[in-house]
Amino acid sequence: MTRPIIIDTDPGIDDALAIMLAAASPEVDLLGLVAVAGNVGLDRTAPNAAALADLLRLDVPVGRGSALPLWRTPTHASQVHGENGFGGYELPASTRVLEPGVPLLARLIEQSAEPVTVVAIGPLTNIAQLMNEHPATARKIERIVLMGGGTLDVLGNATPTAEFNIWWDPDAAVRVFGFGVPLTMVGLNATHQALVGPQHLPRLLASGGPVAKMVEHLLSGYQDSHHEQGAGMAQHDSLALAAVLDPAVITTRHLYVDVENTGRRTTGMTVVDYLGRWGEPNCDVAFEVDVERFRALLDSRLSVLDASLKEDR
Amino acid sequence: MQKIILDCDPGHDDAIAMLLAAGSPAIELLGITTVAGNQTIEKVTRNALAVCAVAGIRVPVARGAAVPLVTPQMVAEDIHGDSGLDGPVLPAPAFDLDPRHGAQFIVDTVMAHDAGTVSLVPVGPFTNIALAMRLEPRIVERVKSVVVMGGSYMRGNVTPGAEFNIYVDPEAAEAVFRADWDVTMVGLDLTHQALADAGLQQRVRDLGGPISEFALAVWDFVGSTYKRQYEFDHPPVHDACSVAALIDPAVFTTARADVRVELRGEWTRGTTVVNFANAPGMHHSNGTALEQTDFRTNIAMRLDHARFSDLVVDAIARLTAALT
Repeated sequence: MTRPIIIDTDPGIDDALAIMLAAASPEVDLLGLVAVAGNVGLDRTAPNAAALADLLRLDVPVGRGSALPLWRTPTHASQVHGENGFGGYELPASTRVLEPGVPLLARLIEQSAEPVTVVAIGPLTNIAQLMNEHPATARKIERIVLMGGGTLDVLGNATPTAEFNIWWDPDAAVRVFGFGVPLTMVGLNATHQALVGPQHLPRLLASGGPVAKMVEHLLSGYQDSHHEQGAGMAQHDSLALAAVLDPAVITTRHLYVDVENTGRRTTGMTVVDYLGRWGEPNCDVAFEVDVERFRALLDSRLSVLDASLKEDR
Repeated sequence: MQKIILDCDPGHDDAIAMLLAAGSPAIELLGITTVAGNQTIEKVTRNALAVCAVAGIRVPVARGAAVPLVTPQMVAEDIHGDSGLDGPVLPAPAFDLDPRHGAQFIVDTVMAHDAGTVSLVPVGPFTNIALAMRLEPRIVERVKSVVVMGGSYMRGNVTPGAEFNIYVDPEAAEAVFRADWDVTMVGLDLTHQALADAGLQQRVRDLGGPISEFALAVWDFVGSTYKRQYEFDHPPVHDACSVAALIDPAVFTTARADVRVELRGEWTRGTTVVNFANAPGMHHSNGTALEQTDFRTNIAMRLDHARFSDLVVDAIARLTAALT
């Protein structure tokens, strides 16, 4: 039985790989993409999402969500993702008409026969707005799997204690973490283990089609804060997707997580009760990663996708 | 020899720090000041005098702050017990307290010695240090270095994000980290490597004598509370790590960072926010990371456990020999 998912995203280099992975995977039924500002502005992330949908032949709606955090001043990570969000890789502009993002989320959730999993790989602004404006609909979400936050040895990458998605809109994160929908948090402490370089995707790169070409460029243009010489770069978002496809890729612990949004220095921090003693668990927090399994999953799925897209041309 | 004032809240690992400071030939222990923390000021001060009596330590002991700068007092009964030093037998004090407040003792001692010769080693909440800085701001330029036990760059022990010493008095901690002196932060990241493991305990056991017995009773008690509260197999010897750094700087590696203390957060008050100088990608971000680029603090990173153990064993051996 396929699992219906919606991806809320700010493409974004690692977002692109995550969306490709979803498109390549029969375990999930991708109902739609909803763009949020984050890595770069909404005027980039929304067209990027649409362009990706075109590239991957996705016959699904694409939504244009929030341009700004709930109330704070926005910032961006163009030094990581390049000015256009794809490290300079240009896709043909899409002619799709984009729907308003939050109503699209609500519609897809309501219309799905099976409860939907929302995979949130950008800031959580759209999700929080859905919860604020359509709480009954939001409660129908089966699970939110989010890329965000961090604990223990990797607390933050935007600030010493905060990961970028949570830091960009910490108030949205407070809403999402406190709302009561089951959560899986794939944070930096996990994603920093998910190092992927071209050497880990031999079948994909050998295939040489449209996905392979883009991925090759993305991996060279990706100046993430975490990379080890020769070992590759952390693939934050596709790890979150991979956890939906194959839960054995990560191990999780059911713990209590608060999000700090009133700190002078710590706003955006996910405060994870890593000892399991300070509060009622509200989240499955990722810890260990089976890196080889993750890399093999990416390579095999993306190469099959790439081959299918080559044939259709 | 390094001249130090040890500011502490005995406290089980404070007691071991006292033994190390008094027993090491590389340390000239100018005095001990007490601060409320692990227990009330009355209890920790009584404990400090008791440890001196056990180990034959004879230096000025001055009683310091009973409460943090701003917030109400809190103690750590669940780790250190009702007396603050449950476990070992505590003898009666062998001498009287110095009549001065601990903060005044710090001021007087630093001003009396040559500039750049006296180091401060706060291993409880930093209240006395902050008070001393306010009583006499000139001590900041006069102190040689400050080696604290407190904080962490990745975890907490009293809340998920905050370590006890910082959490009890975050305002004092911020004052200490922000002042213009040389600070080394020995946090949980380092001290959780300094376990009183079977090897170290056996070496201490082999020394024999009342100080050895005392140390083993300390570790026996705090070992059981750490097992129950934190699932540690052996208790960490937090405070002695700070003293050890002044005996042998090679006992741990360090990295430069900018440290600020969170004072406002709902869930993060008392968190040390540590921005490492060598953290890639952090400094062009907006907000906090861009502000935290004054990498003046040394952060303790990797411990040489063997070297550390040698120092502790040697100090206890010397104190034991001096007793007889």
